[in-house]
Amino acid sequence: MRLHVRPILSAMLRNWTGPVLVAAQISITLAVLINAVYIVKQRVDRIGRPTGIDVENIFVIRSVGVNDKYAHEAAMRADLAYLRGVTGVVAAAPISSPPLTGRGDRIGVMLKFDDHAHGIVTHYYEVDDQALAALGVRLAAGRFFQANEVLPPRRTSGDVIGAPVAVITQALANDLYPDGHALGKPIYDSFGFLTAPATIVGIIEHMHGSRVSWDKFDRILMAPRLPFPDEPAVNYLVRTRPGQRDVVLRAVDEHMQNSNPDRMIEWTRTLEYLKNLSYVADRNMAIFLVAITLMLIAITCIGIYGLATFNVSRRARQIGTRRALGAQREDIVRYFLVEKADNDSWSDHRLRTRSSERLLAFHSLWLTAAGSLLSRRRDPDALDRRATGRMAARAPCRRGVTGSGDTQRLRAVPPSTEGFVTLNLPKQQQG
Amino acid sequence: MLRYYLRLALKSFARDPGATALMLFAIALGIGVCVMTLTVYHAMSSNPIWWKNDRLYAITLDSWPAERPANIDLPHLPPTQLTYTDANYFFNSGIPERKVLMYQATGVVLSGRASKPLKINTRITTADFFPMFDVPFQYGNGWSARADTGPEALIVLSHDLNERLFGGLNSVGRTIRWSNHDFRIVGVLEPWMPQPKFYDLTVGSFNEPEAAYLPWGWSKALQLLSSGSIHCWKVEPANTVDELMSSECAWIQMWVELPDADARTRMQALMDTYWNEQRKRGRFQRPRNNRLSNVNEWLEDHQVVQNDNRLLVGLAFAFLSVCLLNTIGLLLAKFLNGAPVAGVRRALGASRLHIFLQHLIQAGVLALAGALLGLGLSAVFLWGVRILYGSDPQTGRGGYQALAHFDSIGIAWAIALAVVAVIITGLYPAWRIGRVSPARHLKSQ
Repeated sequence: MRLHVRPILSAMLRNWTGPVLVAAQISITLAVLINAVYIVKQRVDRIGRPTGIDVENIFVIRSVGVNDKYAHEAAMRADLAYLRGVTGVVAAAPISSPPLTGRGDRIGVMLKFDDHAHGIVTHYYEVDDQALAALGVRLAAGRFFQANEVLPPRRTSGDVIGAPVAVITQALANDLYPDGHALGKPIYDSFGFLTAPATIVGIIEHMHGSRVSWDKFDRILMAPRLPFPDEPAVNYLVRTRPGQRDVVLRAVDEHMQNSNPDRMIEWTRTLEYLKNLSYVADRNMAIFLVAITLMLIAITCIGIYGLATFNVSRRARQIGTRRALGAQREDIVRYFLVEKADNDSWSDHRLRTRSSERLLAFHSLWLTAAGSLLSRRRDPDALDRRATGRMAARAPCRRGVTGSGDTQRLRAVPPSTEGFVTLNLPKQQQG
Repeated sequence: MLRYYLRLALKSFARDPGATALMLFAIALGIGVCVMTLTVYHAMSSNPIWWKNDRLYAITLDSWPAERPANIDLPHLPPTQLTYTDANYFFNSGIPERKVLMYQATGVVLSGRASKPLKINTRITTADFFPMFDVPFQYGNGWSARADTGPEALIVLSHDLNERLFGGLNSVGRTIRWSNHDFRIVGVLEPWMPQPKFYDLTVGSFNEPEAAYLPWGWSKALQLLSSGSIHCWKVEPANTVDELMSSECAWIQMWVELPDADARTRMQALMDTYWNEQRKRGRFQRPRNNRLSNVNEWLEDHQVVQNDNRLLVGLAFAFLSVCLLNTIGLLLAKFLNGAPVAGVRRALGASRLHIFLQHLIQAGVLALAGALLGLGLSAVFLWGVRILYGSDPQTGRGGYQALAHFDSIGIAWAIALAVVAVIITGLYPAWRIGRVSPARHLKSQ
């Protein structure tokens, strides 16, 4: 197929302003589009990373002691007994900070005691024996904690008893023991939360921790201990049967608000909601980029529409004359499509039409949607619609054809010349 | 003449409502998007206490072990907080005019109208906090340095908390129960919302200030652990405030007010001497990095403005430029369409300059109207941004709490952008039409 470059170039040189404006617009739009697509894909991928957790069926309740009668451990045991008895609940467990929510404790773990030069930073969770089921995560190897291994909370007594066992994620296991044999191996921590050393008894296949913006989001260590964060508070993870989350949440929230006057339910939220809040910046960036890119495309479309309008309306009188002399609307449209490329003649229109179509298609490649909207409004009759790219340019061409061109433009002088000219100008010559 | 040109401009727009609407829309959209991103950017990058930029300094020094920096992502910076040992030493040095030690803790309030207990963020801080950061009081005032050491059972409430507990009445002198202890209210703040929350970036750079303030001594007396960040590296117990106080953990923010260069030099010298002395005792194994950072440096070092925001500003300007290119095209078309009229005007004696000015004024009217419309649009966009970034105050998670309120900066930007729009869009088309040769158009008539 031959590309008719020469006539296109000569047409552009004849009147360079329009093509330059269009080229500048399209190049900026394209640059933005390409970058936006890349960034949006990156963000969407990040939000969609598999978490390893049964996010859709979990909600979190945060309970805080409010007076000096509050007994942390007893309150926790009572709450857990209640939660595990609610119908629709698959599992419930206390956790020091809920995963996927942006905030949580981190500690350093080591292969040798006090070897902080080679310490590896990881999320740290205090949980009980039900946490595996409550999170819906899977073990890759080993076992999870047993009920008799769960230690009393820190901070309630003076000395902290170290936990002798720990469960870690595969990601942390790989970083600690690159040879792939972490199960049953010793591990040390930086705060004495574990005995020195503790034994790795289980490895979780995959799970996201709290700090989702950290690049080591999947490094996790769990210790069997009832949680006690910086205040007498606890987060309960409640996992329900599929589809029952919202019903169970309402019932549980209502009950727990009043079940113990010595504490308050600070909040109850689905894990899905908390996760979405953590990714709010990524989501918004994607929304902004998509919105701006769409507006950019629309504006570019309008711009090309406007330029084409200009080119056609300049010749309105000529069109009127030709229409009056018997030219069909389609002839005029074809004329302008051809003329965009070459002004010499329009005899060999089939060939020329193709090349000019290509020029216009290039102009309006991005604008198809808006262009076809504009043209459809005016043009119910049959013109070749296959090359949809032409639409944006075609609409203005048609406007030159329809409208009042036939009559008004043939009149001698524009009736008003800004209220300024009162001369009698000579009658119009033939175009 | 100007009024006549304005009238001509309006008439010309009225004759061509479609094209005018398109141009107006393009300019308004471009300016609206720009003003929105700039307002957000401005809110993020501003210094909320610029008038004290040469007086307020954050103290940091690198107490981390030789093997690794405190923050892997910003390895050139010392930890953002201090150990109790270091903070206490500098606090008692006597060089700064004012000085604060502080951190955030949480407490449960049972008082006033609230029938249910209320969990609030509380700042544990020293007396100078209020005068040093120019915190405005609605009722009463802060506490004295003596109250810090006592510690006296005094509390300062934020405007919002006073509103919730006492309906905004003067509550000074009343007692509230904060985490099982009675505190007497000595002051109520006016609404105060420094953005970014420069004095403590560890609990969210754009979070609201705390709802209440307690004298420093309560930290030890009630063993109030920080709800912000406690950053440790050594193997040592850190479960209570007493343990933290003797540990190498960094958990205290320290700011000082140094009135002049001399005080600054003396403070820096003191830090360096202290650093040398402690190094001999085996601490401070990393290279010396004793910093006195003013607020601007502090916000810049900790990258409060995210790269996303810079990207969006760039994008907004790319968008504006496309909108303006567009308008140039349409305006050019419109002007040249009226070339015969311009030709007649030239023939009747109007100079090129007159034609040029007449059309430039047309472009100016358009840009101004576009800017006004754009300002309205940006207010709508900002409202959208607030919804998109809406945080969940109860869980304290999510976006920005009070970012992106519309301010005079937005209006100033809109005006500036409108001027730019006139220059960019109006000049070339007006020049082109000014150069139109009258003879050609007269002939064709």
